[in-house]
Amino acid sequence: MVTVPLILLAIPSVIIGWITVEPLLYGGWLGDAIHVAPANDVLAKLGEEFGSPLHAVLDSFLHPTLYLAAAGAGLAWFLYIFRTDLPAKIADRAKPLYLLLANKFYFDEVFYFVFAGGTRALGRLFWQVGDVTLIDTVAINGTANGIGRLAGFLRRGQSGYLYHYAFSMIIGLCILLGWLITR
Amino acid sequence: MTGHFPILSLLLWLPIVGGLLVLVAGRVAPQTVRWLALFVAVLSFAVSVPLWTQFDPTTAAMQFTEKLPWISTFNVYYSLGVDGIAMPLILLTTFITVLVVIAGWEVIQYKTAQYMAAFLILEGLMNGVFSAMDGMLFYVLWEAMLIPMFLIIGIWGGPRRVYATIKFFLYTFLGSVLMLVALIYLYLKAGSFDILGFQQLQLGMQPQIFIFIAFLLAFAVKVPMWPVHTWLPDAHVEAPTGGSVILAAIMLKMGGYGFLRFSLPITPDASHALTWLVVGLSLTAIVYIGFVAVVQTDMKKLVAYSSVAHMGFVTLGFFLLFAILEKTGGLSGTVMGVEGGMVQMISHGFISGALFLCVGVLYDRLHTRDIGAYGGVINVMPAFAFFMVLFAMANCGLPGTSGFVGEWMVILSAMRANFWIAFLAAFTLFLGAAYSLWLVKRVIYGNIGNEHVRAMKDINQREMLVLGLCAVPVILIGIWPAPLLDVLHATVTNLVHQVAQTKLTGAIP
Repeated sequence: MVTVPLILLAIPSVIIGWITVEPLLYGGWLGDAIHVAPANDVLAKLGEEFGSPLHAVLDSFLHPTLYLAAAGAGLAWFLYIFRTDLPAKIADRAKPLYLLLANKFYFDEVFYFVFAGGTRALGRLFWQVGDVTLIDTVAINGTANGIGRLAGFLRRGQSGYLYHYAFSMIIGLCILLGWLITR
Repeated sequence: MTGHFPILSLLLWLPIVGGLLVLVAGRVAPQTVRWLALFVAVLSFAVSVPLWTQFDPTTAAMQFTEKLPWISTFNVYYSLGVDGIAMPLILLTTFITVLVVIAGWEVIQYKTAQYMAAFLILEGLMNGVFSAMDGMLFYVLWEAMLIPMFLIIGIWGGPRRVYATIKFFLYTFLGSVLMLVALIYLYLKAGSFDILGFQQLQLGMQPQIFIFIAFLLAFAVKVPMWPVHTWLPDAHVEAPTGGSVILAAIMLKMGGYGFLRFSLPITPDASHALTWLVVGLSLTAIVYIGFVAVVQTDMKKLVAYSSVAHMGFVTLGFFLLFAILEKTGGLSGTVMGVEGGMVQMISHGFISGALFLCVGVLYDRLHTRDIGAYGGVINVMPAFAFFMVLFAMANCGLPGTSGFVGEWMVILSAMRANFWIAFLAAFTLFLGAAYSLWLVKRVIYGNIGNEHVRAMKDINQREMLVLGLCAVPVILIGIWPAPLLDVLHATVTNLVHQVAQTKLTGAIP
């Protein structure tokens, strides 16, 4: 199903690469848009050896890259088309290594636990301890309840007995006079 | 009165009179109230449009001004005017009110006339708050605004509405009473309640600190800033959809507006001295509340907490000014922070309003806001899913939506002030994505959760219209914010220069 699109993509990529490799990498297409320090200029070093696209293709036969890539393709063909029973056997032999690689070194699981779980745990902590307990229960409703309790305490003074009021007036008068005298 | 057509008065009184007419219509011709309310809301919006088209963006001076004596004994004036910060907020108000009226069309069957009237009267009062140029007028409208909102939550709200309304009322009232004290002090110093006069008033450091704290409490409750934010999730959860929309889209913005109109220009030195406090609280809101939002299981609470986190960005943008000034000694980058905060306010108005409308759409069908009760909604409501995903993306600041513009400007500005402020502010990007997208994943995507979800009907034309009207500005501001920034620029630049000027030299002690 994907064969035709892949072919359609492969042909122009060869053509475009052939045409543009020189002006893009070693020519002036990019102008001075990218600045590279002279010590790090790998492309200039490569440019010294670069002749033409054809020269580069022929040159690749002298280096291991081409043979390694071909070996990879060959190995894939061998394991997945020719001897399809082998991959399962290899996976079985090197189970721990296989699982580690198949699960992408468990990065997803670790991230899920640490970041997603940590975010939720922190969120619950802030919400339940911070918002619900400290702010709402202690500070807000605590103030309201405290005022209620204070009012309940002060209410006892309002007994309705005249002699209670007269007594507190005398006490108040004494305190006031005492303050005026000792001032 | 300067001879021109009194647009601002009309925007203040037209919705209020219209609201009263709706109340009367509720008695004599109940079937007309919806159309009458819509007519008043659309007319108010139409009246507000010339504010934008005839606005002169080259000046920071007040425009469309009106001034009449109100209580001459105390030098109180009925004085209105708008600048680049107030004008967009008024347009936001008139626009959102139209949406709220349409959104409540079939949903509100109980006391429809009173419902519509409450929103229209609230609209008039909010327009008044944004255009009042007299401290007393501002205060009266600011407090009056509480009444319709109190009724909206208390009458059409959910099961715990009484607890929520009282909490809402006490919180906001406590803050605004302290603001009244500050306003009276300023009146005694200045001899009038003229807000521009307050801004020119030379004040010593100590009075500035007290005034700043009084204003801070009033505005911090409204914004709301951590730790005085806990009324908001309760109010949102209990409020009817329309109430949540107005609360999130406009009433929270009053706090931000207050900082720009009162705190910064009246007490610049105290603002400077206490920058650490506001920046600290803003960053706490962004990080702490972001985490809290992630674990919410109630959709409305999630959006409410997300609002607190986003409003933290607004106050951060406003107060970065002094941090940048201290670090670089110059004002470059400060205008961007304040403008970023303003853009964030406008953008958040549309996005949070739209998200509450989305939650309302789901609630109307399943009568629960529990995230766990949904799942796979996209299979039965594809059109709705489109909008909800769009607004969730906008909520986490995706480029191309309005949410991105403000966040980006504020983070860029924060980078000039301090790397660590920018670092913590950028937490919102990942936390915003976490709670918005996780919400979408659990509600919209996946397999159909249960039979109730399977029976849900996609949005009708009315709902499509409301969500579509929200989507337009979200995308428009996202891809082309220049018109909004142009409106803000002169006013914000002037404000920043005004605020950078100390009042301590030659101050009245």
